[in-house]
Amino acid sequence: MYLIEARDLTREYSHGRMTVPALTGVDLDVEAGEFTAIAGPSGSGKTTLLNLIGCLDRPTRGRLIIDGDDVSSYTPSMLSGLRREKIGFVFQTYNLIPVLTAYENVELPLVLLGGGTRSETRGRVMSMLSEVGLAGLENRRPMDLSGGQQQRVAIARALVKQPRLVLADEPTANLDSENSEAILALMKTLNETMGATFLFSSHDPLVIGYARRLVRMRDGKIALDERR
Amino acid sequence: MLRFYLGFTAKNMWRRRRRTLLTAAAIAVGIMYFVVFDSLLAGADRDAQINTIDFETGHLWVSASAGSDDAVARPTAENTIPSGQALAQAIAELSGVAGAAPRLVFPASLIAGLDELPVSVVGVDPEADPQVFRVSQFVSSGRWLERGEEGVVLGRRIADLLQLEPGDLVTVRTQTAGLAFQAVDLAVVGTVETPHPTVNQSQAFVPLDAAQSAVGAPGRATSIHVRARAAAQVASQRDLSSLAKSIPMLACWDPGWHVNTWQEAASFLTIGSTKRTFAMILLGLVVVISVIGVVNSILLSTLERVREIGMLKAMGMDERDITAVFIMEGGGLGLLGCALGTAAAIAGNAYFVNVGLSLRAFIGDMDLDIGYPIADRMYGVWNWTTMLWAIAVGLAVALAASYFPARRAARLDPAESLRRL
Repeated sequence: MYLIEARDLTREYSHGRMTVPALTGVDLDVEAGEFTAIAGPSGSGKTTLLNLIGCLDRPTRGRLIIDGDDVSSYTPSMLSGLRREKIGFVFQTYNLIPVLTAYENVELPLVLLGGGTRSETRGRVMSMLSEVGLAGLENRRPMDLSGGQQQRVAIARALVKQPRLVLADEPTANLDSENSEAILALMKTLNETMGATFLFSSHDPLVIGYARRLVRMRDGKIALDERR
Repeated sequence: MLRFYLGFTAKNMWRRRRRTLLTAAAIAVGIMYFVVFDSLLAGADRDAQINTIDFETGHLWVSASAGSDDAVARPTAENTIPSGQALAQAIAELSGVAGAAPRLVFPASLIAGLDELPVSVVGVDPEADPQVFRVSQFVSSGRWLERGEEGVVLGRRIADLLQLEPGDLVTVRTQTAGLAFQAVDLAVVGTVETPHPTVNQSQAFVPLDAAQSAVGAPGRATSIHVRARAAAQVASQRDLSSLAKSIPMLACWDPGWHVNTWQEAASFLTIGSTKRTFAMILLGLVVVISVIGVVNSILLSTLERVREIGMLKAMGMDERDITAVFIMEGGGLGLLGCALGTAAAIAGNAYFVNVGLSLRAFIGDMDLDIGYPIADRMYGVWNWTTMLWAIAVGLAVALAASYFPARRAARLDPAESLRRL
């Protein structure tokens, strides 16, 4: 069974009387534990595909099955629940909550999940921060961290709840090459040690080079799908 | 989870601390105005009731004509009680009565040299009157009246206008029951400056027998005033009802006479309902200020945090969670506003309860007659119920006002929000 099964996934945007297709009839299967890059030029539909798989957006047409559940007919509340439990996100602009410390940003997904005791939560957050190399910086706010450190916090936040799937939209686009490489290495290590499935978009050859599978997109369609 | 949300709310409020403080201050000012305004009006009401009882009517009064007529009429056989002194003594002996005193009130002109001033002459029993009224306690110069003397005690304002001092002579010109003009020369024995402006501005007190002789109404009184032995300074209608029923049982009672309570003379009680209207208008103002302040603050907050809202939704917060986040911020603003407002209201009210508000600051040296029997200074009262109401309304309105911008934020499309720069 695939973790993600997308069939004829189509997304069109309406601008007045015009309808602009962003994604057209995409079929994609992703197995659990994969480390997949979605590459392509700007406007090729990478972010749209990630948004649909991440249940942040709804397809105009087609079916999407995540972890065995057809989410096409899910209500907004059910989609929130799915995101809360099974999906972690990493964005180009980090999107950390500015008023929260690094610790609190990583703690937030666990708070939303509920269930754990305070000491359990603290243990998981501190261990995750340590995994991404931020031990000792847990009390800093995002504005007091470098771009690379902020992205590490974002990765820790995405992984702390041990999701089935991590979606990363251009995760290194705002970083220099040294930091980019460090982040990619970290993601790959976490993919191997934690078993989380990574699906990330990029048009950076360095990023693409790290992927074990490359899905290349053009004009809203998959132009190439190769495993390495 | 609640602990995290509370911390998150506090941090977001601190992040926009200037806006938070401005919104909270607006709510606080509204609450303070409402509480202080209500306190001053309640204080004015209380003082007016006390002054009416202490200087105008006593708790009850018996008259020969029904109801209260503000205009002072020339005494006639129809509007006066014969043997007023005897009736007052009979009433004074009833249980529950602290004192009873007859008064004969009539219009007159005071003449001092070339100056002439229309006044109300109040004929009083100098010994019985202080058992009902407190005029004699406010002698500002000279002394109070003595029985049988040809003297007059003037309201302070009258004495000032006619430039009279104790020891001076003044002529009282009036009309007898038979419409004949009568002029009597009296020695000014004292002046009074009371908390009741009407007494100071238009009343001249003379011994009852001198008054009766001036208008040719021997033994008569226009009214008999009664002070009850009530526990409360401002006795209620219910407290006075049994006494009001026992007076007409007296053997000397004439069925044409009427027993009135002080409330019937208190025309300002109608101002009480106006007061309530004003209080409601002010409360409405608190509501409007809170709504505008909170809606503005929360709406701006949601507009500035669109990406953050998108991220929170991506992490799995649903519409209810996002709504709760912003409603808690609205509630926080309300709470802060109420806390500041309560502190300001307590401080402001403490000032007005102890120092009061001088009306002279608004009207200068003009004659103070605003149709309200209070002195030139309004005092506040402590009314904790009003304060609790103001806090409850401020908080409830802040929570309700934050609901709509919060719902708007909760309905944002997550993908769209995350794209926003």
